Amino acid sequence: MPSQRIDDELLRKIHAGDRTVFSSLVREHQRSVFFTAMRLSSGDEASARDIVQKAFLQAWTHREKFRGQASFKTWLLRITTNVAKNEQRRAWRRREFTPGEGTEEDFEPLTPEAETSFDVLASKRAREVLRDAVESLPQRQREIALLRIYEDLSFVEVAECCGTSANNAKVSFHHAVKKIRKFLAAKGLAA
Amino acid sequence: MKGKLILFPRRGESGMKCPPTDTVTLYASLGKTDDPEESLDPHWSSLQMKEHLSSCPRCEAQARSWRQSLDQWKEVDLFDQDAFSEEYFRKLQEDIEGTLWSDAESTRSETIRSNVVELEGLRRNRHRVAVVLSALAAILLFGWVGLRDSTPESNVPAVALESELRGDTLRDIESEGRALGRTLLASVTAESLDDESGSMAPVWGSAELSAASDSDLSYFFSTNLYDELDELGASEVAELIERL
Repeated sequence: MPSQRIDDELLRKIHAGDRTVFSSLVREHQRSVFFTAMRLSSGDEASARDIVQKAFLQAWTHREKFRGQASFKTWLLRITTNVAKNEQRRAWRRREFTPGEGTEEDFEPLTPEAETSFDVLASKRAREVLRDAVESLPQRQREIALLRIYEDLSFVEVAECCGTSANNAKVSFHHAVKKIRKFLAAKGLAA
Repeated sequence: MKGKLILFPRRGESGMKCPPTDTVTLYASLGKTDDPEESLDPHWSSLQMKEHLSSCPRCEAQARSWRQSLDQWKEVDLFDQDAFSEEYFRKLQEDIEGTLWSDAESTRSETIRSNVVELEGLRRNRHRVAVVLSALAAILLFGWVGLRDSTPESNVPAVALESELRGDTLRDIESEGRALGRTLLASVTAESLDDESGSMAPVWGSAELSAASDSDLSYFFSTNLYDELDELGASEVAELIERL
């Protein structure tokens, strides 16, 4: 089922700044927003919380810009993706001045006993490998793959979130999945 | 030397004509939220794909393996969702709302404060304001009279200025377009060859657009231009590359 669109009455209340309505929207969507933020910030909870706060604040501040053409969830996830992107840029800039991070640990191979099948992804270490695979993707492919796989958005909605065309979302998703499979295979995990 | 890529249709085990690998995997990627008829390759309807997969073990295995990957990744996720309880989200909501309403209050009081200051300033300087307003009205009036009485010749400088401005805008657009084109071109070369299936993916469709910083480009270019580029044919792409 595609994400639900908002009716005119609800849209009017959002624009009018109805706090009760906005609270219920926060309650309804905070999990999606938080989990998406977690994925986009490599599982860093503090960063994810920061992204969530900023995303909802932007949504509230710019609520009159929501026209109800996309679902509220899609609109929120678009904001979340943009906020996460900005945060990441800031983090990169900071990292340029703090050398020494991201050492061999990032490229540590799996232990031989773990290199059996994809089922081992259930283990914590294997989840890290999947995370590494996702992180190895170019930014836009990563965003598209994460929104598609974990938020069940249609290609049209993913495209709306990422500010691109549905066709581009499909092609990027296709490349992303292939790269993840290749990465996992290189780590000895049959996908 | 220029090489030409010749694609042969894939054949399944029984010699039937198979859809391209990308179409099979795309079909396997489709979820309940997608409209299959809109999403698939125009040469293969979802019904045809369904029929084909039921009779071609090779394509069926490919689709199954693809789908299995997606399901497994979804199940595993990148972190443990169970670590976040109902209580966690209750507190998160409190934090979010705390930020929202306090921000809203501060914005509101700031707006009221600035309005009050503005009104007080106006009241205090009403004589000065009246003088400025009169001067503005006089300028507008003279300007209007001047424009009405002017001959076409006297309008030439205004037209020249307008054309100059238009020229500047066009130059800005052109340079922005060129910058984006170069970024796309640099990134597209790495992505264009679909190495696993051995086919060429649509060149601009596979462009990795993340290399272009969104903040550096206007919304107009980052939406419309991508779609335009998707529509280009091979010769047009070649021409564009030549120009860039």
